[in-house]
Amino acid sequence: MSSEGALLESAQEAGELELEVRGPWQEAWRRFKKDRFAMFFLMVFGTFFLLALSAQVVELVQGDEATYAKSLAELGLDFPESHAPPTSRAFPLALFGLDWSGRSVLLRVYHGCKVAFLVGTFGGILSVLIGMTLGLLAGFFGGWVDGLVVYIYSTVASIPYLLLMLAFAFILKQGGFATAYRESFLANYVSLGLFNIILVIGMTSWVSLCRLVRAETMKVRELDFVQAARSLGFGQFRILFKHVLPNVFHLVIISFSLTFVIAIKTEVILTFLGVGVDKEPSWGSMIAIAKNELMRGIWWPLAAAGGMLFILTLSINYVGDALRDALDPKLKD
Amino acid sequence: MGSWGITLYMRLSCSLLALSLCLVWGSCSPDPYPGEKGKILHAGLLALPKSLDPAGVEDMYSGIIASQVYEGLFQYHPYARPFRLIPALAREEPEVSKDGLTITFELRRGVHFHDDPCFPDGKGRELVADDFVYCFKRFAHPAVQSKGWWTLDKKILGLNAWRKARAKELEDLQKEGKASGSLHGMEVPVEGLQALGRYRLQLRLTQAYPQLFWVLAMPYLSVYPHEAVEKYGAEFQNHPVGTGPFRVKRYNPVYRVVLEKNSGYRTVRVPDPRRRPEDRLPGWDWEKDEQAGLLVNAGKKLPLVDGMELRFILEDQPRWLYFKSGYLDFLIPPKDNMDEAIPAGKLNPRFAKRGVTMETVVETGTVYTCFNTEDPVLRNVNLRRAISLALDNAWMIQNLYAGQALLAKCLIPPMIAGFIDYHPYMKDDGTAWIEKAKEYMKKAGFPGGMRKDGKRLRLRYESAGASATQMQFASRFAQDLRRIGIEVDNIVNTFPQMIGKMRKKDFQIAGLAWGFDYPDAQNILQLLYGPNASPGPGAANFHNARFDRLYEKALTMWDSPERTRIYQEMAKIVAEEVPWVPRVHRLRRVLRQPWLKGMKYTQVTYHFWRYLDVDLALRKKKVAAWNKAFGGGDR
Repeated sequence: MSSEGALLESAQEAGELELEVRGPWQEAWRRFKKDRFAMFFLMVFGTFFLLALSAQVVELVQGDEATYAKSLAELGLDFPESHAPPTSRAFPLALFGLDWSGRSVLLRVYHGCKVAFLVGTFGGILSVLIGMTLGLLAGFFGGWVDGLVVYIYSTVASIPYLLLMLAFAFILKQGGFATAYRESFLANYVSLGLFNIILVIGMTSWVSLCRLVRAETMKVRELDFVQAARSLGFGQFRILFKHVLPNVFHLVIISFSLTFVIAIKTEVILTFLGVGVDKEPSWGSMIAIAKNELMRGIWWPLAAAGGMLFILTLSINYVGDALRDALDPKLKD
Repeated sequence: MGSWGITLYMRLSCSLLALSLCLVWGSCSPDPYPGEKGKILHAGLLALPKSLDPAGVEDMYSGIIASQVYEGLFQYHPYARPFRLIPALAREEPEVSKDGLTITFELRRGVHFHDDPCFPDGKGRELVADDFVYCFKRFAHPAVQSKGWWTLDKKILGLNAWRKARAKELEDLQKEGKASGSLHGMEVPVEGLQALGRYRLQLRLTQAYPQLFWVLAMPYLSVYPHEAVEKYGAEFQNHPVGTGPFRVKRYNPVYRVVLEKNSGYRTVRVPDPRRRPEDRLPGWDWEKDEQAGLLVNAGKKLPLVDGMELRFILEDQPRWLYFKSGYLDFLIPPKDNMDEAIPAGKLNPRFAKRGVTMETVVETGTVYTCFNTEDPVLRNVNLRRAISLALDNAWMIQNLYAGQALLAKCLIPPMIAGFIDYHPYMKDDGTAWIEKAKEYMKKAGFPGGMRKDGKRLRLRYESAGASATQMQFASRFAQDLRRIGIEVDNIVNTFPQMIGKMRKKDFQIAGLAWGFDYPDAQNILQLLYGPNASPGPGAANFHNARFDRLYEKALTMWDSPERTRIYQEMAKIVAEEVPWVPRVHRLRRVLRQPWLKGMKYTQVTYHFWRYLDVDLALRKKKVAAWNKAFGGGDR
């Protein structure tokens, strides 16, 4: 009796203390918010996202008559059809100067945002989908499924990353696939080069996530609540998606933020090496061309593209780090 | 004992220290040619030579070396423009039969090969007509696989049959598992290739071949002794033995080649038109060259220098720095250093003050945009004309070539007979002509760039190589065409991929360039001759009955005003039908150090190298002044 009374008492005390009960996501968000820098960079990231979105809308509206593809001279402004340093004339078009063909660098980095986000988002999603699915299946089912998945990712991981990407990119750019793509409706919105980059990144950068998810799943599948679900006779896939997946999902989110950065950087590298985006203005192509220009004292295209790349990757990296801290249940405040 | 030991130890360490200091001091000396004796020409090559076996000389860098070591029947005159040939190992102009099919060469007597261990006593033996027969046969032999075979293919009576028979034997040998690289069947005679005695060589042709003499001046058909091939086997490509003014002293295929003067070289003199009227070739403005100081060594015996050291400097920066320090006697400045070397198309005054001079040479070649005229869309001549009109060549020269190119008004460069200033589908100043282009788009059935089904016209532009520069060319092409409503997909290929696509006619538009093998317009016109269409070399797959007739007619004609007129006629057809859009002829800027003498640069031939001379005293003085150790020097 006395023990029951004590319990009741402590419960009342608890009520008086107004103990908040938060779900794991709310808890994570609370912790994330505490990091001022993380919030700042999240806003930077949000701004980039809005820029990219608006660039996409502008492109859809302008269609073949895109302003970024035209030199300022073609737009009827009094500018040369070649390099010109930043100036406040024709504000804001020439704010970052003109590129080798007399086009606005500002417009090109702006539309480059779209390419970066498309590559980051879709490349990231593709890689997460592959990595997560294979990791879950391998970790949960074990046996020959695990053996097969481990075999696949070991093989992929043993090929030097850059070579693998280059090989993929070269194959996709040629032959039947390329021809079929050019005929498809998608070609009107996303160029073959860009589509390739997304595929290449998705298909080559899933291995680390797959490993993580596999290990985590192996751990989770032995926990009590999974055993309980088993004993209640739930189906394998119900257990997998309703009980296991939510418990490894924080890995997926963190991995996505990392892949996002890798994807953007990969786009720049592949385009620099000449197998990347070929039509849309991209930061990678701007940097590739700037390599030769820099010798001649033309710094503004490189500065603009490099600066944007720097700010975006810095903000995503920071946000990703903060997310990791916020989502990791072992790191309590 | 103990103290003695310490002293000894100290003495030893002191001497070691002194020794190493000496070594460090020595290696600090900036001279990259330490201990060099005599008058040696210094030059830098920007790629590795592939082979010094004449049959395998297919690149410029092997060609440069081979042209100093070997000789053929003819060689290029070092100064005459338009280019002229002069007899080298042939004693004089050959006898040509009336039908032009039998050509007999009288060889110079008393010409000896370089001294080499491949000869029984190490002394070079005398050159005879049989050596040419051997070398031409070896050149044609399937086991040698010479890339230059096109020069004699179907040209010499019986040589193709001979080659075919050897190929058959080779196949049989391979089946039996015997050595496949052996030169079998060399004793079998060829009908059209005969030595008439010791010093007479006769070639019998299947058809008149006016380009033959140019071909005979190429390194492919130079002469070497069979003894060298037998002794060195596959290593012959690193052990050249010829009759030229220089012989190889040291050769490291990844570092350098050192040539030394062939002391037994026959008497060849620098042309001396002022004193020797027979040296005044018709068409050669020798007085101009004399004024330019090219003939300071007129009448002197070759070689003028004691040797050459050619370094293979693959990276642009070191090559440029070598030149700036005076360690190379001449150089084409690397692209990225153009702005420093030749700002705004003029030699940098800093270099001019040092006495460096610049020579501008129009490349004997053409950069062009090639259409696949068999493509269902590009078969349309008005579309091709519209594209030609829309291209802004003037902009391209200014911005993508940094002014280092000449507008191509004809597919034949201006210094080659056949050039004609006729270009109905290009503005005179090379800028785009958009209104007229749009008119032609209408005529072509694509008003405003729209197809009949209401969709925009899309074309594919192929380029080889994925450099930023290529990207700029492709991107600018797309931008030019967008002005007349055409969308362009840029496709990046590796070079072999691009060649593969052309062989299969699987392309629409490609950016290409052609460098002349010899200064005869036939060399570029052959690419548009119908029967040469893919898988042959004619990627445009151009079929024009009149063009083909004229080509066949000119093919058997010797150089004459009549033939030039036919070439011009053909160039006109190309300008009208636009299977190609000639874009530019690149300019080569060569910087020469003040001590270099007698150079008139060209890339058609490398024979001019042997006429080069250096003022050793001046070089020593200048190089010392430019490279003062620890004092900064005058860089």
